[in-house]
Amino acid sequence: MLNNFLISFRVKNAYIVNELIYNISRIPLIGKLIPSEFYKYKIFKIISIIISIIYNIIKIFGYKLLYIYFFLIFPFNTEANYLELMQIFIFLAILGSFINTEIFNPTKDKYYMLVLMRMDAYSHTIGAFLYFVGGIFIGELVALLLLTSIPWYYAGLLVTLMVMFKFIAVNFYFYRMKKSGKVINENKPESWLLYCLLIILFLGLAYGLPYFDLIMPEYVFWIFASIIFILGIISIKKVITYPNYAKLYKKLLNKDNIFLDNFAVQRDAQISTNLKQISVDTSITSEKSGFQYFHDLFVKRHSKILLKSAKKTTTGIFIIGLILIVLLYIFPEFKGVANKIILNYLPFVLLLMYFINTGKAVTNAMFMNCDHSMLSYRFFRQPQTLLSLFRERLKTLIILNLIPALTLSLMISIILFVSGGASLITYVVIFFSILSMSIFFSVHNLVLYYLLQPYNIGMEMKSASFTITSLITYWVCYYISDIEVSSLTFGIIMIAFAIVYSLVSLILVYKLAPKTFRLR
Amino acid sequence: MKLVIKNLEKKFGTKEVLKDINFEFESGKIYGLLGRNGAGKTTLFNCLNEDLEIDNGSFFIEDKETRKVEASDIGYVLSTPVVPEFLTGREFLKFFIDINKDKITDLKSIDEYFDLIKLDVSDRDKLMKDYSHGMKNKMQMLVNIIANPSILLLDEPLTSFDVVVAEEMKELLKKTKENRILIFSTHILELALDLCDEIVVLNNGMLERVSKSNLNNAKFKEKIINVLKGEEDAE
Repeated sequence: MLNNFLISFRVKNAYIVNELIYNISRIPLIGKLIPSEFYKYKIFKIISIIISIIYNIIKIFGYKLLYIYFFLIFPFNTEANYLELMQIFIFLAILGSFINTEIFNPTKDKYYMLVLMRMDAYSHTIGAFLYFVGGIFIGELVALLLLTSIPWYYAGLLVTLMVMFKFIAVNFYFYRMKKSGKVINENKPESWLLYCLLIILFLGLAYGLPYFDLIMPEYVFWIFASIIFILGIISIKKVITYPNYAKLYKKLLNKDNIFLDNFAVQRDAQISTNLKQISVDTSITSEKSGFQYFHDLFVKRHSKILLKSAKKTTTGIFIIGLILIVLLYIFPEFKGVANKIILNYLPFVLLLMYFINTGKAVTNAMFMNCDHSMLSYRFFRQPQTLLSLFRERLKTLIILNLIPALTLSLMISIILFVSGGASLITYVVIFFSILSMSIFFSVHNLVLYYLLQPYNIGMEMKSASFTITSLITYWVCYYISDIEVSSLTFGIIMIAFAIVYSLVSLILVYKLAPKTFRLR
Repeated sequence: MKLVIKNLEKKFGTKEVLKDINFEFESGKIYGLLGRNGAGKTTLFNCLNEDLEIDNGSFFIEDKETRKVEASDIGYVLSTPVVPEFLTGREFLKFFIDINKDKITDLKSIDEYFDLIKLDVSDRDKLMKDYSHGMKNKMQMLVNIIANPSILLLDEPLTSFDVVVAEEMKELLKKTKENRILIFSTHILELALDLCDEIVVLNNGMLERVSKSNLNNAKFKEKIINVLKGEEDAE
């Protein structure tokens, strides 16, 4: 058992170090400095073991000290009576025993040890559980003695009771499993409502009873402790002789229950989510041909994801705009302020447009559900094909984003009118500059997608240049949003910039995309 | 027609996967490309399909005259089939035919193409996201055959098929080899011996033809394994 425990400890350290090295190696630029030989260097494993031992000591003592401080000391201004604290401790211990059992917690460690390495389930479980309750016993005892006024013999009894609660809770779950035939997973209660109500109930009992001066007399405490002690001894026997740990973990340690943070699992989840976005409506069809046919079907079968965000944003803009208009009628004294804001803070709309543009979500759907497969076909990568499809996609993206942009332009124009108005040219410039911002972001997002195609063949977004360009875009928008300039001037500059930018980037796409838009 | 590879090299970091590959593939033949795991078979295909840039060397078509390998010359059937899952099989074929119609000789109806790969009538109008691995593989193979490329690269294409479909696909490949170069990578030696006209081994980054001479199948198999292990010369 001890041997198994030590093996688990070493394996855990090994994969923590390996995961760390792997994650560093995936960081753009820095990752290239990490050679694959790094995994074999023992020095990292030794450092990891040292860190792990320190972490375990902190876990045993530090966490328990914090726990006792926050739950027993912090809630009381004056020092509470030790019987009061003992009562609170007991209710919290009962609650904690059922929430945190260790045995019914499907962890990654257990998956690696029991499923992948086929370690003996019994010896691993008992070893890990004894370590768990041993840590609680020592850690809580030290914390109680250091932080509270509870006498040492009572502190010893309390932590013994806490350990007993742990065994009783596990035994109770064995019983429930036997009755229901279902495997218990402490992270996924059958009813979240009941789970929350029980937490509230026990917290209420823990802190509510002392509030009303309902403190357990000492003799009741001893009777209660005796009962728990007897139940605990029976439960210890049951837990130690439980024959079905292997069966339990075979069911509990499935991929739905364990968050395996490896890329393959995340990718599978992503693929599954993407496939669900495809409409299965059999009436969807298209009368077009060639690329238009292909793109038309893509848009129709992904209308949910493509339109969802645009619809939500449009509705949001409309409702907020309406509320503002009504408010200006109710509080006319704010008309001047509103008018001034619109006439001087148009740059802020640029930042807003950055956030509401659906370009990134749309290009993500395009890659995941279309380009990832189609780019492996040589015909699809031909310049003519790529650019024909680019044109179709750009049209769609611009239209999708123009819906909320038009609503925003209209709402701002109406608010401008209601708040005191402006010259006709100001209306026109504000209206068209917002539309030009929308077109600019649509072009920008699609052009970046084609020129810096950020995904690799494994569907990971892994392009340092794309990340940096996105960050720069955000930073520029943020910086501009803070500039104080009249909306008229900014609007004219914005329209001119959007036209020039769009033209230049379209030329770049036509020249470079056939080379850059491919699977990495 | 010949596909000529000259001094082709490809490295990943410091690892030389393909070292000075020199080979000539002739049309009308199916070449069985064998190699141990990680030997570089897929890398070679990716280089020929220009999915990967080569570090050195060249490859070209030698016909009446020498010319560059164009995109339309190559069909590439991947080991893991990828198809646009938001389309039905019929829609995918329609789109493919639409944009390639001037390159397709002897254009057939969509259903005739489906008949060629024996895809069930009930599956033809289903979204391809609901297709099995084998059905996706058939679709991928079909679009590559329809386009009529002069070189067809097949990366372990038959491993996901059941025995009946695998036999059908073998027959289809045998029929399509005329005036075309088929390079077929596989780990199944029996399949290579049964289907291919020539066996080519990729070993230590080099490509070698394994000469059968007058060996019987058992001896030839033994020889291929020895070549793969590096214990015997290919000639």
